[in-house]
Amino acid sequence: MNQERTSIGPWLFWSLSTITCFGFGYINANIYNAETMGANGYLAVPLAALCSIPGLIAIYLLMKRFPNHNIIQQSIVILGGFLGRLVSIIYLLFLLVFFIVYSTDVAILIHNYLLESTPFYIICAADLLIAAYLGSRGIETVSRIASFVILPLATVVFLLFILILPEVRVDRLLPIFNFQFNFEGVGGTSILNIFYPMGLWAFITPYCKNIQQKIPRMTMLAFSVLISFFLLDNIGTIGIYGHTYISQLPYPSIETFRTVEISYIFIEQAGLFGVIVLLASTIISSGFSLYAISLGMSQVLGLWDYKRFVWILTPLIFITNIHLAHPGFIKSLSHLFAKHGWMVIWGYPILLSILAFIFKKKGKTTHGS
Amino acid sequence: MVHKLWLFLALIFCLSGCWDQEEVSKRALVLAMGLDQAAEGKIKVSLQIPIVEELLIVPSGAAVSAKPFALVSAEGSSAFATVPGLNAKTQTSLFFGQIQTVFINTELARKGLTGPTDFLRRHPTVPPQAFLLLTERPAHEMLEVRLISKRIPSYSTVTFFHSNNKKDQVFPQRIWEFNRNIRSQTQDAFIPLIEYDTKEETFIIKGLGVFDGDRLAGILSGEETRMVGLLTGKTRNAYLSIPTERFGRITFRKVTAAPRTKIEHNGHQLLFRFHVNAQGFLVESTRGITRFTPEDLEWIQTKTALYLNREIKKAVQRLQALNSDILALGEKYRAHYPRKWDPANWKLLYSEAKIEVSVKFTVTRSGTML
Amino acid sequence: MSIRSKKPTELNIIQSLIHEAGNPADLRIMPFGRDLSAYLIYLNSLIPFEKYHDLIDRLPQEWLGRNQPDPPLTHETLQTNLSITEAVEKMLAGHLLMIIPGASRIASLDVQGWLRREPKEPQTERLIRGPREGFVETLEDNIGMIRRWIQDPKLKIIETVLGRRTKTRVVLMYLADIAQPRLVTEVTRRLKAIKIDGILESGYIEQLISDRRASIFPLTQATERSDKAASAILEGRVVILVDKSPSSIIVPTTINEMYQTPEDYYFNFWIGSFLRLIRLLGNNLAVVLPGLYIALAAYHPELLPTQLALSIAGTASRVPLPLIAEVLLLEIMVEVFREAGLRLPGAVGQTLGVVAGIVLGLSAVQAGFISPATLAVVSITAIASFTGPNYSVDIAWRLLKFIMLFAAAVLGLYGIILSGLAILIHAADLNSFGVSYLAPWAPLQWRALKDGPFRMPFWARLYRPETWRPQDTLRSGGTKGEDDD
Repeated sequence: MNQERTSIGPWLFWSLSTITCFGFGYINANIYNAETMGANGYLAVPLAALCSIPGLIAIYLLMKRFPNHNIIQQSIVILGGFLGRLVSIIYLLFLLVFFIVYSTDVAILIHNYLLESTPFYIICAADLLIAAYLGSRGIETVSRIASFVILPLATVVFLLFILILPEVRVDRLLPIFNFQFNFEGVGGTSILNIFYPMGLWAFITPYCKNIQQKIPRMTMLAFSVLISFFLLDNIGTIGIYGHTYISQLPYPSIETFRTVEISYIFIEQAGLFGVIVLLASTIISSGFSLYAISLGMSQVLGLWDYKRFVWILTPLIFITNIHLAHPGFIKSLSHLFAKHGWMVIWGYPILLSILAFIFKKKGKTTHGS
Repeated sequence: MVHKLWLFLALIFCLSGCWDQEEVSKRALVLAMGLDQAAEGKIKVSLQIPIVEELLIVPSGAAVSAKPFALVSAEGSSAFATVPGLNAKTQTSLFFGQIQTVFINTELARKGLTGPTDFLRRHPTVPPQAFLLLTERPAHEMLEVRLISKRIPSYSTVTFFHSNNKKDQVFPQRIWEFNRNIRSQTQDAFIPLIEYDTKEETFIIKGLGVFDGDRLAGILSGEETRMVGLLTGKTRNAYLSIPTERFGRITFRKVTAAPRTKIEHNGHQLLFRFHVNAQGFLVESTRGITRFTPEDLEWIQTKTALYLNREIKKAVQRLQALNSDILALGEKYRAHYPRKWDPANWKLLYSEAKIEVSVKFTVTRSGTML
Repeated sequence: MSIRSKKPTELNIIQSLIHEAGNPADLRIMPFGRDLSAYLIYLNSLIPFEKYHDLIDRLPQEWLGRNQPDPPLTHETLQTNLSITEAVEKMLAGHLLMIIPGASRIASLDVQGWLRREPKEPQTERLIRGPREGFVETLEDNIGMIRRWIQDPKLKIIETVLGRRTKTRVVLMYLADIAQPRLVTEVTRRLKAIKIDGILESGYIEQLISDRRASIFPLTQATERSDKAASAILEGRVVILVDKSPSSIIVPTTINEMYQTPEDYYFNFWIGSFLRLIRLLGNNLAVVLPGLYIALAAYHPELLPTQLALSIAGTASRVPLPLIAEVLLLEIMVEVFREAGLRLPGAVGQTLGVVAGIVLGLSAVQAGFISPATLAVVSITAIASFTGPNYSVDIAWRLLKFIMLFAAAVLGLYGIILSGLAILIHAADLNSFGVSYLAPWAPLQWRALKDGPFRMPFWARLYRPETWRPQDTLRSGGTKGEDDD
């Protein structure tokens, strides 16, 4: 049959990585960067990219060792059945809580800016249903959607940046290289959070078998686009508001985009309209996360498949979202994850790859599992 | 089974209440807002709401009502606390998403605007690009004036600010900029001062209100505002008129400037160096002189540069006297001297700083005459 | 009963034939030949015999003699030694039966004498520039039309018969050295798997071989234009022609193909690209505009320019219906008019449709039932929905417009985003014979994208689109234009 095998091409891989990081990052990234590095907050972006590279290399090395296994299956092989499963469950629960916090944050954003009177649970339900629908269709559909949406989204985003440039004041961005790292409060390692979603790639490594050689190149391409985007985003936000004012804003990027005004165009508040378009990337990131977590769960528990797990997890996430819907609480949780999440997202693959090297574990080259 | 579940979920959404739905015709669109100081420390909020049926263009050209908008006011202990009172006076619910301008009375501005303007940055539908205007008259009076040009006062101010050729004495300050500036330690806010001419039934831009923190510190005159515009580079089309003995009164139009500002710290005092490269089109010589020689032009340019030098210095000194840093010199100081930057003593340094101005003026064109 | 074993007489054979065929009223038996010893049997409704006198006179007389050997040529069109059942089948399919004297043979000759329509330009696929030739109901004529486009010996034509009672002939056409062999195998497999009573139109086959039958999007492409079918074959796709149906099926297909017309290629690439972009814009407008209008006017008036907000508010304030009811009512009325207009006779129908629209719309506005803004929005939507060249996908989008409308009515702009994404997810999930439905957008195929939203000039399109995975990717050696030196 002339059917596509479940594998993703290089462009699909790139668009998936880019859009997932983008969707997760644009909401909160500015706060962390400004808090940690003040007026030089934009420099946190390439720094975060650099710090993410070891984790990605670890995932890549694991992929080469275990071409047919994803991170969950790899941990079962490396750590043994019981320990591997236990640690995997903890890893997945961490990702699940991270996703819950993030999805609640987005729902609060929509509740604040767009739909004030609509009950919060309706917004959560709508959001989660579409994300679950996407996640349940599998990696091919998720990557195709990402590929379809990435170019128009990137155009809208870069257009918005061009429009906010006139309001940017260079003095607010100076002095460059005046590093005053702030490790208290929200600051410190929270700057790494932009590239956490790249770690989700560890779940789809078996589908990247055919493009192993191209992955480093595609990852670098994703990095360059993301770095340029977040750099512009930070420059825009800090250049417009100054690094001290940003900490008072719950969604600095949104507020930055809202300053965009194009006189006499059909849509007023063009910035807000652009933000609404960006919400599409948020749903795609959510869909991909749900898919990854459900896939992991099904592999750990050895039950059913990811499609069923998506529909099992969705109501659980929904109920948790409703109960966590306090803006201050959600923000503090997301700060916590941003600051310490790297230990799990990057630490886990690094640990696994070291253990795989020590115990000389390797996967089968033929498709076995 | 799965399909039935989808249908069930779809039906739930269809049966939902469309909570946020409120048609634009069923909302009271607030086009302008006025903030005044009322008695006993209260704040009076006035809203200008158009009567939409009166605004429809009638094809037959029938006479339209002279006053197609309504004004509602209420007093309260804070700005947004008046909203229940205002809602009680309107048939439909108030909608702030189309606010064009907010008029603020100078008396209220002198007391501090952190409180009265806080809701403007918190309310998600208030457009951050709405303009702020100061008025010495009560703001609610400004909302009900008649204009010969436009039927809705607030809307006419918007067209005013959108016109490029009007950026001479007035520089718009939008809500988001204002809210950032009054809370910033490195920059102060300003709001254009607007007045109403009862005889000619039109608005007049009178000057620029400058703030120290969140309090109105003083009003710059038109000429001072023009100089500030040249210093900040915001001017798009300034007019300049200079008396000369040789050529009568020389007037320039489309005066723009490319300023460069430097701050130097010599240990205990700051020095502000302003270098302004200005240019303009020569449009009038009251003696009707034409055929300007290069020496003539050089002379005119030098004279104008001297004039500008003097006026710019006066304007900056005025700002220092009012302790208002609308030129964002604090930001520059922080950027170039990050280790010496201390928000606590910035204003002191600012008010005692020395000023050096150097201006270079170029006559770019002399119109359709030589 | 084998004729050879018992050697019955010609009259016995005729009687058996009549009995097997059920003695139909249009059966004719005519003696012919030099001594009138041979018989012709045929159905008068399928073969107007007057046309075929010459043909019969020219048959080699040796055949007609007794105890003659079989004619040297046996082909689909001329078959000998048929059994009674086979002969009846052939007769019902429109063949001329000949009973050869003495040898008691039944031969059949395929004369294809039934009524044929002249090829005309299809109503729904009109072009300003291009051939005015469309498929007809006769399979051979359609094959002939494609043969005139593609004169390549590698053009394969494979016939199969579907439908137990209708015995409809279905033909696959493809280029053997371009089309992917797996694709051909899969199409053949799916066709063979069809078990049905009757095939009345190619639409039956379309639905039966579709990858996903419950999807609203058409997963096969139908066209009545021969140039379009020929172009598809040249790209490496498979064309399915169905007897008695003027609509051919092209597989596989993507949504990108639904927005292409042959006209894009007949004009220069600037015009072609412009037309394609207009189609995409028109289609998007037709789907999103009503929902966007509701979302902006009812949920987010802060996004409307003030003048527009005031004008909509002014006109809507006089209307008794809520905005959503207005829009829904008008959209449904437009669909009713559209459907009614199809049934109205010819020129009258077109005029009536326009008049009805204008008069009713204006009257409704003046009576205060609807606001002019809503009428304008719905009219633009209705007109814009005609920009797409493919009828099936246009109908699909018309239905999806209602989903976006409801979503906007419930959740405003966010509802539009969600419903748009849901539709995209569904489309991204679709495959048409193994090809992603959203190709070349998803997965992004740069080379094929040159033929996507715009049409690159021929000198930039040296390769066939990789979407169909053709075996031979190079179209030609490339043609240098005058700009190249």
